[in-house]
Amino acid sequence: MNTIDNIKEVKAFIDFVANENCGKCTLCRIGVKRLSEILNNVINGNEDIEQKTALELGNTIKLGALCDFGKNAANVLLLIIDGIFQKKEFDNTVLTAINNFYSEFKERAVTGTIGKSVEFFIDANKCKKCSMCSRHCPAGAISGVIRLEPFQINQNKCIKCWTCFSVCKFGAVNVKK
Amino acid sequence: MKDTVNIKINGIPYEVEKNLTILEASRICGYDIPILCHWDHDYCAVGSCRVCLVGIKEGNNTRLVSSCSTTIFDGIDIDLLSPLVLRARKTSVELLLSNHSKECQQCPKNGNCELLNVAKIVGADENKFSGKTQDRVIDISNGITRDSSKCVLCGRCVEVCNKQQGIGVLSFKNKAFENVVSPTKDLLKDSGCIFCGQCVLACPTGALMENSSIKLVDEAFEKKKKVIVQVAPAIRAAIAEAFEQKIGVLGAGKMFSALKKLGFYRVFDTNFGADLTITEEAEELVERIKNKKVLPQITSCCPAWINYMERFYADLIPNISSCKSPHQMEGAIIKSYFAQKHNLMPDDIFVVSVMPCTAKKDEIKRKENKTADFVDVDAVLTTREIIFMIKRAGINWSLLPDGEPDNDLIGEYSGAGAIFGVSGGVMEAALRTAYFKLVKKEADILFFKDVRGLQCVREATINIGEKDIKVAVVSGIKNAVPLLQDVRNKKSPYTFIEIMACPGGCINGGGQPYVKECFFLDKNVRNTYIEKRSSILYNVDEKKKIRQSHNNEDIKKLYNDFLIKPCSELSHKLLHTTYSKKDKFSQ
Ligand code: SF4
Ligand code: SF4
Ligand code: SF4
Ligand code: SF4
Ligand code: SF4
Ligand code: SF4
Repeated sequence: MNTIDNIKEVKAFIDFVANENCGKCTLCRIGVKRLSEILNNVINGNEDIEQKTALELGNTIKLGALCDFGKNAANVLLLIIDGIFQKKEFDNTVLTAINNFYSEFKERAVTGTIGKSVEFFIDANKCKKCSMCSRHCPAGAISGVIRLEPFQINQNKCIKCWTCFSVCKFGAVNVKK
Repeated sequence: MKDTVNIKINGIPYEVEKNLTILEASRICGYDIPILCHWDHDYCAVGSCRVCLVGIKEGNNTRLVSSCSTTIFDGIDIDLLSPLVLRARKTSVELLLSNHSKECQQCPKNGNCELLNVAKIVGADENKFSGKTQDRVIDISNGITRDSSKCVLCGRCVEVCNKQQGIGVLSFKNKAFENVVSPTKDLLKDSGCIFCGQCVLACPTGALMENSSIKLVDEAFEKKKKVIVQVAPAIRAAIAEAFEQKIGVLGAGKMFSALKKLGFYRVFDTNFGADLTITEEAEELVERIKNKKVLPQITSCCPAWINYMERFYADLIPNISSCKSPHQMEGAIIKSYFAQKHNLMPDDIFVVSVMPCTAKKDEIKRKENKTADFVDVDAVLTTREIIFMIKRAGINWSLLPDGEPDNDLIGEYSGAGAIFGVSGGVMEAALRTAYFKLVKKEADILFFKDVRGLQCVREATINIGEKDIKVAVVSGIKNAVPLLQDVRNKKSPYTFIEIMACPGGCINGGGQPYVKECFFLDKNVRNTYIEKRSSILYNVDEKKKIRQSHNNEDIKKLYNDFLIKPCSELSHKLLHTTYSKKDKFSQ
């Protein structure tokens, strides 16, 4: 059974991801917006939306968005789609996923540090030259030589997505706010 | 270390150079990938449009990445073909279309639109998604029109205006769905835009276009005015591209025939105006050198540079040549000398300039350029607009014979005038004449070849008579900044500086045909087109018997019959102008 609070929570999440992403890439800027419009319509009982469109769009964003904000947002939205169409309720899986998302991204999004106003640096002393960051950087902004030279971030290309910060296992990526 | 890596594309192994992006490697191996936001490599490569998505197979999983911004590595297994990849690209385009005012039928970009092109390639359904759309702002300035509802937020214009031109008019604003690319103060004219049009060349859609003047020209015909057209040197280097799909073909002959078929009263060549400019500008230079007046002299024929100077370097006004640009001079002569000889009133004449330039549309509205009681030029069409008019009239380019411009008081031109369209051309042309005036004999043509070249900043030392003078040629407005700082601080070693706002000069002007990789078979086209276009103009020069402006017979006649001598009182009234300090953020 859905409680009113659950629905509120879900709707707040949908609005959050639609309004707080950085707006740089198409799949998240317009894709999450469209998905949020579809889901809000269904939740409000306004429209009978094709489930397939929502699922396809969600899966594409999950794989194809530029950074982890959009990818993870789509992941949670897929659980919400599942809650709406299959389970017919928003259970704890959904609520936990929403909270996990918030704990990773809410501060960054609200303070506007996704997409702008921060700089990332790799501490050459801490860098183990493993290339993890450069393989994950969606902007191709990190270069270095695996096992030989510490990795470096080209500030002109960096899109401030926090990916390197999350994937580095050695805490070598520093953030300057 | 090995310089190649082994990669797989759709399961097929290839060996390619390392450090390439997936996009570059795929093209080498014979696969094209649709792109939208990607532009010149030094500028944008963040992969924000998500149209160039490809898969990287990792075990049973496929990771989607943007191919323009991801570098290949040894053993990479690239997937360009699976339904997952194809659907992702299609979805990106469909999402963009859901937030786009789709008016292709009436959109001047149709035919050169990269959004439409990728939509076709990925097979997008324009109505797949719908919902809220971005607010529509239509900003019509003197040079450029911006329609925000056609913007796909690729950021090319932002990069070009900031990094290539160093001006910074455009930026991203707001986050999420509200994100927009817009001038810092909402309207171009309030944001320090110099109308160079380089952003227009970069824009994939109809969001940034020249402010069209075709209607004005149509109306002039309708009002039975004597509509006289003049064509800038740079047009012939590019116009054929629109009809022959290749770069490097001289279009002069067919172009003049086409213009005559369009019904213009006279078809003139701005090369004549260029010769006139040189005669005046070289005289000015000689006078500055002889009388130890303010040096370096800086050229004034690029109106975007003049806009920049008036906003950011107005203290250098004494250094700027007071000469109007060639088409303004030619317009003034048409409405005075030509009109008098033909018993016409300036008001009966409507002068149309076909220019490679968006800034010239703004230039003709400068109040400083108003000569006596008439405006020199009534309308400026870009190369793209005249191409539209030729196509609209149904003129078959391939059947056109080679024609000549009219020769009626205004006609003859020298090789010096012809090279005005390329960066370094004005310098070279002016030096040929200045040398003659100072040394009293002709210099060898190759004497000044050091000012030619493709680098954006070039300098040369020229021996004129007893002394050496240093000159510099700059194209791409940002590259002028260090030189201008030196002039400002009175440290400049130069006697004469040429500045063109567009990299490569007018042959790469904001009104020229688009050079978009997606429409050419040769994907290397963006690295070579400037060179190809400039060699066309140098060839025109080489084939000319008369290579110096001061040897142009029609120019001599114009001075004998009318202007008396270079920099005379009448020529100052008709051919020279003034400048004033302008507020950085307004026109
Ligand atoms: S870059 Fe990241 S946060 Fe920004 S729009 Fe794309 S996915 Fe969303
Ligand atoms: S934040 Fe890190 S991963 Fe993201 S674009 Fe910048 S350098 Fe690359
Ligand atoms: S910009 Fe392209 S897609 Fe948009 S209306 Fe014009 S031609 Fe059509
Ligand atoms: S015309 Fe030139 S100055 Fe104006 S916005 Fe475009 S690139 Fe910038
Ligand atoms: S105006 Fe054109 S170039 Fe600029 S972001 Fe929009 S679509 Fe791209
Ligand atoms: S370089 Fe030529 S095309 Fe470019 S703004 Fe100047 S005059 Fe116009």
